[in-house]
Amino acid sequence: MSSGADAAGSRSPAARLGQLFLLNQPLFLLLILGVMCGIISFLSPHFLSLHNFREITVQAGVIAMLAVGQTFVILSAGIDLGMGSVVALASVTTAMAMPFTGSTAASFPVGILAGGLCGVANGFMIGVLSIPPFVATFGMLCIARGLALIVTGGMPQYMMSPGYDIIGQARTLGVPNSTILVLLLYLVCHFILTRTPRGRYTYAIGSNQDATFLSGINITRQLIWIYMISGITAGIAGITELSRIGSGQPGAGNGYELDAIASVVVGGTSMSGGMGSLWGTLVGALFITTLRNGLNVMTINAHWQQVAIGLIVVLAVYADRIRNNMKK
Amino acid sequence: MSTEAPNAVPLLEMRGIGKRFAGVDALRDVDFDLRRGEVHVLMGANGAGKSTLMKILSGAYPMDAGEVRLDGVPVELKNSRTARELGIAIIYQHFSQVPHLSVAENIFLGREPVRFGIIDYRRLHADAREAIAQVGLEAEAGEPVLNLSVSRRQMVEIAKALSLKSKILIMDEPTSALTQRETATLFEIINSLKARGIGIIYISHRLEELRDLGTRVTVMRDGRVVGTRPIAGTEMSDLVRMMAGKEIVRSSGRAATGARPGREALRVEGLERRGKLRGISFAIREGEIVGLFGLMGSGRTELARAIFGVDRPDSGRIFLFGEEVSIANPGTAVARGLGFLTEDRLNSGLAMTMGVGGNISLPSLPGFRRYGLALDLARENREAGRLIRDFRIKTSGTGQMVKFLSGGNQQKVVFAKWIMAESRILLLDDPTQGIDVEAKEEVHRFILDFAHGRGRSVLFISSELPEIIGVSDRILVIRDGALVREVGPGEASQELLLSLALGAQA
Repeated sequence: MSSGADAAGSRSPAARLGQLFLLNQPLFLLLILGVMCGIISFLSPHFLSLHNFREITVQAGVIAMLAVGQTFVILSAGIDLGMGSVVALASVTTAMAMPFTGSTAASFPVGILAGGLCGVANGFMIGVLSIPPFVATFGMLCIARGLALIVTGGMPQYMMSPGYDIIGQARTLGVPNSTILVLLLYLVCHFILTRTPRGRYTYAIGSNQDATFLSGINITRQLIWIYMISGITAGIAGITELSRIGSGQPGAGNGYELDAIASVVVGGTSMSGGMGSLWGTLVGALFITTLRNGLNVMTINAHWQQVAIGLIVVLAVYADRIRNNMKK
Repeated sequence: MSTEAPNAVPLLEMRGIGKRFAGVDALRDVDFDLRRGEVHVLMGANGAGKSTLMKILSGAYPMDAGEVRLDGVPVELKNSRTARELGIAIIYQHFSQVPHLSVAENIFLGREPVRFGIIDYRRLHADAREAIAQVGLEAEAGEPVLNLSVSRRQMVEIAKALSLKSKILIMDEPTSALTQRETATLFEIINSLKARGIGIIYISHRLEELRDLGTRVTVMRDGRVVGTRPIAGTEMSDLVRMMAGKEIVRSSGRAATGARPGREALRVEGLERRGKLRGISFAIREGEIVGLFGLMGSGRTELARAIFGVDRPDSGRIFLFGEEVSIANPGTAVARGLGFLTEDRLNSGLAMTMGVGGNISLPSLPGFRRYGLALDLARENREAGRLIRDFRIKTSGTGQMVKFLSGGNQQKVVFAKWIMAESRILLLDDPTQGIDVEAKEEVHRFILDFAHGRGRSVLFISSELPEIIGVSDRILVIRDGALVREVGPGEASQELLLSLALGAQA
């Protein structure tokens, strides 16, 4: 046996497991999440119940969906600030299509299409017009919200078609349908990210856009695709939100993009692009939602919740930074 | 004549300067001096040690051995700040200016006159006007420097150096971006600086334009001083001989393998790009390594970029394997069988945070799809692993991040990438710069095998003379964006290539 294998073998399995958890942000976060659940359930009797867990997964659903698209964008060294507004636009266009078509199945694609178009518009601004992602998607934040208010005249849309609640409220075998949809979305997108050329190009652009360009990859087309994915996930989140609350609200989704960004970043994806995973994002979204829920059931003042979440996002990213320095 | 008597204590004396980088001597026992009111020209091929010596003088690098005296007094150049305080100013080719700040603000950056904690703009502008008057610059003190031409920005730099009471000015190829008239203006200023007793170290290869200006010229090669001569009476050919050094025997090449070049792979006709490339025409056949030699800024990199579709040429035609093609972007180039190794590994060569395998397969990913959809990761990993072994890339595996590899191994990753992409023509822009001797030899062996063994084609850009002579079948020399001449295998010598690249011989 080589000396290297001996050295590894001489360490106890527990020590190696410990190292694995410390060096991997999603696993580390999962560990913290477990500890956090323990503390909260000790402090509040309401936390540890099937009802509350179901509640957490439903609450996490919309943010988790947005975080999928945000992961693609941040991996490519960009950012999508417009997601919350696109949620609202997708939600109200779907709601307005419902009395028109009388069918839920025919109306949901409208929201996804609206989201996808917003994404393509972002991608066009960034990939073709070379506008920085921060600026382009900030523009979309205002534009999509404005459009949502214009088409509805600022009024919530209540005319729902039958079966509108299929994603947001119904369950299958006791599992909320939105949770199933989230898991499906993560599986499909994880596959795209790790098993297709486009997924790989997303990492490559974030790591070094010039080197990727000089390897013959069409950067413009790839950026449009990335922001389109982001728009589509915002569209899906929009119809989920509509299905959950039973109306199309032009004010929906306000600030959601920030929770989505927090989920991605806490999950270990680098803001400078090129490094990260969707699985980390899923843990991150669960972490952020559980934290909010836990602070709620412990009846901690909502204003303090903001402070707590802000601090924890910063700490989690700081931990990741230290870890990356250690790996060298 | 303003120059002092040669036997007086010189303004600057550098004695026995030594500097090592990672165990390699960059400078060895270098002596250099400068007199008051003198323009001392410094020459040498790329990598001869000129920049390193000047960086030591300006405090950017610490020296490992030797002594520096100013006016006969030993000084310690701890950092660029102490050097500046001692009166040493360096004017870079690419100025370190803040483009949106005004002329005055740039001249006094970091030492603005202050009153009650607020910048005293009246005094700032008055001081700046005085400084720019000294160099005869016609510009408003409040003008943002980004509105100024290159030559005027250079004047601002000189004005700044004067306002710092500099006694020694270092100028690195100051006329390379100037028109003839601007050059004349610059020389007038340099003459007035000489009259004031300021010593100027002037790095340039344009000896002819320095005849009236310069006093002495020092030639460096391989980190040593070859000699110092008075400019009057020295011919460019003497200097080229000093720069070129000993001839090396061509160790490898076609003669050894006996292979014959095949059909034409790449033909370029009348390639033009405004200000960069002028009417470039040449061809490379299969199984051939064509060297491209030129100094920095000669257009050698621009030529490779234009062929690869990075920058669109204004006019000209490109043929690949006899067929005229239009290469609009690198994507088309790669699809047509071209591969490009850039001179800047860090910024445009590799995705540093991605794995070795991911970098190697980046241009070839669509070919690894199963049913046109999912990547066959096992096959990708296998093929990348095979190339890692073939190229003897020292890595812990396909997943290791490229940024943790040594320079030589990183360069091999780029080669492996284009082999996987089945490139038939490689454009190599200085592939061995900054890598160790062993890796360098491996790169040479690879290039020779790629062309002579596999019958593919290489455009080989290099600034190292022994290397380009040793590896290329024939060599094109480029100067000021135009091909000067083709040098065949029998006549290739360091001296000839250098004099062609410097314009000392046509």
